[in-house]
Amino acid sequence: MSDDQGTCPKDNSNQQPVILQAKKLNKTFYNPAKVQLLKELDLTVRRGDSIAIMGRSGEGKSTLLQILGTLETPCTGSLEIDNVSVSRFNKSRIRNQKLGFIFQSFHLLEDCTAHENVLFPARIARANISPNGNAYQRACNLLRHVGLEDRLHFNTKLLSGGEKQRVAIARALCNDPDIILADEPSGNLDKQTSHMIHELLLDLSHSQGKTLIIVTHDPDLAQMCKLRYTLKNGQLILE
Amino acid sequence: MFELSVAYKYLIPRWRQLSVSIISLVSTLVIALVVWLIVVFFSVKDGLENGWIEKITALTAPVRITPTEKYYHSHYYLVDTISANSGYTAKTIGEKLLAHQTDPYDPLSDEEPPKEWHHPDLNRQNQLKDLVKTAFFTATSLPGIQGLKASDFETTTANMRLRLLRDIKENNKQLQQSQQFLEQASFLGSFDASTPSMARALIKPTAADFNNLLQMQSISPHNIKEESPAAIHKIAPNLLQDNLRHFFTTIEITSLKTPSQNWRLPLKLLVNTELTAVALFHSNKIVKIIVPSSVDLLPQLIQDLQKEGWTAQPAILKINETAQAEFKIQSQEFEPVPSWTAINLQAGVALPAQLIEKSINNINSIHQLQFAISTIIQGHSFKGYTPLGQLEIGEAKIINERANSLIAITNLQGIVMPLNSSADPVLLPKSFRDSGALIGDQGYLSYFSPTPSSIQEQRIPIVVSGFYDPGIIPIGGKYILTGHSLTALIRASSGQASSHFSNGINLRFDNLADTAKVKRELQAAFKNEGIDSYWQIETYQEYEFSKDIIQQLQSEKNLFSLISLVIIVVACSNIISMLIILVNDKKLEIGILRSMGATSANIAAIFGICGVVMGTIGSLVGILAAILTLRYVNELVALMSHLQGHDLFNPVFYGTTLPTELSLEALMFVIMTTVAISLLAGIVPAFKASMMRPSAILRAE
Repeated sequence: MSDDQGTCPKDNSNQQPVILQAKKLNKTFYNPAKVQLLKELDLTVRRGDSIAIMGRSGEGKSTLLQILGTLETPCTGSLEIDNVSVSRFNKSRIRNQKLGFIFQSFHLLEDCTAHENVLFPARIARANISPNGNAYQRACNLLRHVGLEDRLHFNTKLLSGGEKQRVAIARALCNDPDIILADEPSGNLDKQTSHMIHELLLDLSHSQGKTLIIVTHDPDLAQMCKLRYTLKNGQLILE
Repeated sequence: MFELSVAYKYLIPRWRQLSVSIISLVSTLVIALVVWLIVVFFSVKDGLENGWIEKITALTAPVRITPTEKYYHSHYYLVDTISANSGYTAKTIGEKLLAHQTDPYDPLSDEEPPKEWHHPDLNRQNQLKDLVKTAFFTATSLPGIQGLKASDFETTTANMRLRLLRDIKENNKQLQQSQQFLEQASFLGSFDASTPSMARALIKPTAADFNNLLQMQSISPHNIKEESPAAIHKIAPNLLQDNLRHFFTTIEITSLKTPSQNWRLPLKLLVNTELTAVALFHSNKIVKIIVPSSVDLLPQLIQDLQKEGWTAQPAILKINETAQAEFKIQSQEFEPVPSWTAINLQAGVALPAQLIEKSINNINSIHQLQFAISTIIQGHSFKGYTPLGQLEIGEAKIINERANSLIAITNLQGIVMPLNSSADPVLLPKSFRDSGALIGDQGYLSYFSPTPSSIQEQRIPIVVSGFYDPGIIPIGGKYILTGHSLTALIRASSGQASSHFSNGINLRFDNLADTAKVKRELQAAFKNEGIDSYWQIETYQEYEFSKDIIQQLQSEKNLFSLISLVIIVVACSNIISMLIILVNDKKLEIGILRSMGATSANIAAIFGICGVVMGTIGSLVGILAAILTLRYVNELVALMSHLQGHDLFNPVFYGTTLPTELSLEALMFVIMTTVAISLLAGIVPAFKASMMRPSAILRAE
């Protein structure tokens, strides 16, 4: 089964290098009864892929995404991102440099402007954030890409849900990461806005050559992705 | 540093985080309050302590070198007693310093030293070591000590008897006065007049001192050693005139004051006026009219007089061109003031005055001194000449600050003692002032001197020329300061010559902080010179009379430091609870920051910074408040004393004003402890924050 996933016969993307490789991931919770969410799960993601992970609620989609995003550690198994094995010593650096997160409830920083939010990963990376620095300009450009050039210095409190998620997308791209991880990016939005966000997300990641891993219930969004997996009984099944 | 900007964001109070904001505001204020309290307390305490120590060292010196037992048994000391060159008497340290020969012994004419004497201590040149001169030279040539000065001191004991003459009046050319004696067994110390710190202890003379001094100009200094009232004589007019000329070259009277017994108003200075007055009656006869200096004072004056038992009524007094007075009561007609009725000015009125110098030339009593006075009485100009009479000195100042004054004065170098040929000038501790002594009082010191046949009482006349503040030394109240020659005389002739601690060398220098260094270096230098066994070096912390106080001050300081440390810990522990609430409040943001790549150390730093910033802001506010409080501390104390109705601080111990200088030591202590403790307080919540798992936080949302 892992062979199936690793070399995808339907696609010719196998020329692309592997960007993320998860091997034999196990995750068990005791709540208080033992719940094994992931069982010997393998996943290989190639650069530029867009992957949708679907499945029933409680199957462990979000947990899987958090493990892939180094926010959660698997009980056993290994994870390599851009050929670097993830350990507790390089996690933060990988999150900052290689990964970008988009959450269902946006998770923007309070009492900050849209621009400050987008710039924040650069600040954590100790980049030069002065108005004439690269990071500052990049954040402006990203906000322009997501169509918020007129909301640059708005406090995020004043933005609508769709606008907030667009800020979050721009923020996820701030440090030019390789992989964007999105957890139900349109879960809190109406249908029309959801569609706009989906298109934006896919277009942007495609045009910037980003790898996209999305956890979603939305078949519309899943349909837009190149690969679609379903998480069932702790294993990923390719559609 | 994104940690700083995040911490800054968290620290700005917001409505949304009301509970956090209130708690952080309160904890900051508590820290500020504690810091304020500690800084003010320690500054005042340090200031008082420094004042006390300054007085202790002013009376003595920060470092004192005294001869040991071995010195008194040395050939160097004893040889004077068998040498004709020294008159067969032992010398004091001061005399040794001035001696021409180190070894006055002449083997040809002097008798041989007794066998039990120690051998002479010889130096490398095979000459007798000059212990005193070497000690002086070594002590004054220590390198790197500012303002180092050495002088010898002598202390002795004597009985002091002061004759307090008061209310001196002349009646039928006979002196009348009340006479009291003040007697006390006292320590007598020589002091080095050129000590700036000593000058600060000198108390300014008051109007009563000037009055007494002026009165004493007419008393003959002879017979001062005798006690019968008949021995007090008025001096001859020409001598009085000389005395007064001397008095007025050094003291200028600027204002006179009407005495407590009302002063007869010179009507000729108030012609053509109508004055408001109080008429006093006795068996329906008007006996006295008292004029207040201003109409406003009339009701109070009437009230006071009625309290004394007088029948007092307001009256109008009219003085015509020929200085004849008429009066009327209420709506009655004016009637002439009867001849037996005195017209007086109310007591305690200040009359700006100037001496008419010519008037000194032909007087035989100080009451005849003429003054030009000028003031306003009830809106009328009151200007003209008046004899001193019963008027008192209201204000006077020392002019022409020469050594030849009558009062001890201070200048930049220290104290200038008056030169008095008839009696030795002395400075008394301020406690004598409470017993009624004043500057100008005369008396004598008595001591017993052994003669071949008997022990005789000797009396040396003295005159009080100033008071000083001895601080808190237990013997301070008995310590009379006087010149070198007087102590040397009493010490030598009363057989106290070889008593220890009564003779030695005082070492003074500008900075008290050098004390330990001076002692250490001096010990090394004395050892090097081979004279260390002859001298004992003590610092002011070790003096017998100050040791206990200094130790007590030190242990109080340690205790208070400990207490303030505990208070700061309690105050800063508020930060812990505030930060824990903040961490819970900011859980989600912690998760978001972690997801963006912030390390757990970054997160810990954010909350650590919050703690330190709160501690720092609190202490800065507290320090600022303390600086303001210290600037106005005396006004505050005055206000609180007024509210409480009694002195908040006993002026005997604390002085009339509290010190207002900020203690740098306290400042450093407070800043360092608050920052350190608030950092410690920040550690627990910061650790809690950094240990939060981002997945758990983000999932919960």
